[in-house]
Amino acid sequence: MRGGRLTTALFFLPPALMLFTLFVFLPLLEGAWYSGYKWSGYGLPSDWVGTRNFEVLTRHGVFLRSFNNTLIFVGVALFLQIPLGMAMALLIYRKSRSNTFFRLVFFVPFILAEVATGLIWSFIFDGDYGVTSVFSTWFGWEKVFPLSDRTWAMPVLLLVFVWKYFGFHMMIFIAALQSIPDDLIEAARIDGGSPWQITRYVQIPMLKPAIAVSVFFAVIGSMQLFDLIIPLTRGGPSNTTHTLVSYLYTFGLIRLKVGFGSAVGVVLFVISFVFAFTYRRYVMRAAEDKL
Amino acid sequence: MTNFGWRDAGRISALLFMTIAILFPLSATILGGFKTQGDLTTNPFLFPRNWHLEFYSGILADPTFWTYLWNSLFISFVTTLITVIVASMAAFIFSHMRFFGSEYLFGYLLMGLMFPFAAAIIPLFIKVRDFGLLDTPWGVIVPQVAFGLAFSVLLFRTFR
Repeated sequence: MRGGRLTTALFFLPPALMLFTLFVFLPLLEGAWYSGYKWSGYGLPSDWVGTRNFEVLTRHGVFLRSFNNTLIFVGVALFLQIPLGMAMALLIYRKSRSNTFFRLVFFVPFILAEVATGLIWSFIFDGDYGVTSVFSTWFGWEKVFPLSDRTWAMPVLLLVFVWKYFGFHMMIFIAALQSIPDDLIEAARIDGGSPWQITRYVQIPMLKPAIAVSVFFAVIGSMQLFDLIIPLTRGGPSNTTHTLVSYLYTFGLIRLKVGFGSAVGVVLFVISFVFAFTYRRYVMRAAEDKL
Repeated sequence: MTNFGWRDAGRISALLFMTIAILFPLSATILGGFKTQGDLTTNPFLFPRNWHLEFYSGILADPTFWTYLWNSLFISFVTTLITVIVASMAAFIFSHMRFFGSEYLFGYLLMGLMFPFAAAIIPLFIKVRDFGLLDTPWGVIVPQVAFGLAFSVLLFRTFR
């Protein structure tokens, strides 16, 4: 029996570990190595510049702005997206035909491809055809192009971001709410708990493990937000709506400064790594034991 | 709970509001495909005055569209299949066996969650080239599987 288990382990683990090592871990190490070079991506890197790429980063206003924007996305994910997902989950977690319909509809944005989402919303917010064009014809304003407006581009991105991903959190919460035993809620009701009290003192506390998972994915996911930004604003107007990854893409890859781009990748990785491991160590370990 | 009260009214209006907020941009885009440029400018969201079918039929009649659709379906199907098999195998080991270093191996795989695709593009490209996968669907499939592993293993392990 022991021997059988060992064979299983020897057969089941290597495919995942091999694929991961070759196509994620090694590229990661190579990226870290490139970050010390001034390199265009052609030939082999030879121009060693030490930590200069990182020094340039700390002085680049656009990088600081994109760092700040990334934090805004993380904040919105935590304080708008997750609560909205939870609220919707609480409204429709019970099994019924109408709830199945709402669940399906609310999950559609998450299934939609990122680029398609971006294109759809850039159409909605286009100054010639979109929402704002209706208002500008009604009130006789000049045409408004929210996506190329310094004040409005970020709020629009945030709106699309919440629209796209709240369904993911909703699904996590629905699964968790359905696994809460009915007797518990029944007992609270018999004890005279109002629906609001049941939610506040029974359901939400029971959701803690799900919240821990949700927060983890919200932070890690928003740190890497990229595919929505490019079709909507490409980081514009005048580089005010970049996230860390769209900054990496624009200033590292498109301008063929692979070494510099890799340095951005390293910064991003270090932040995510520190967050993920401290979070798992102190928050999720406790939550996972309860799952 | 038996009679219809303000609670239910609030619940239903919240759900309807969200439904409209989600379906509105989708319907505007779908309906937009039936409109001419002029119609789109004056009437962006409602039903078209005249239904123009030529835009959609033009896409459906274009053979390159079907090639692209087939590519997408093939790549996503194979990626999903391999990810599910490989990730569930690994997750099975992580959830059912405790051995020396298993936590570290799991943590190692978890790093895949923290590294964006875009940051790895150049090293990935070189890897894909070295394996001779360039210009084949596998050049897209294999890296996608590798990057999807971390999330899938984490998810699978939760549902032991």
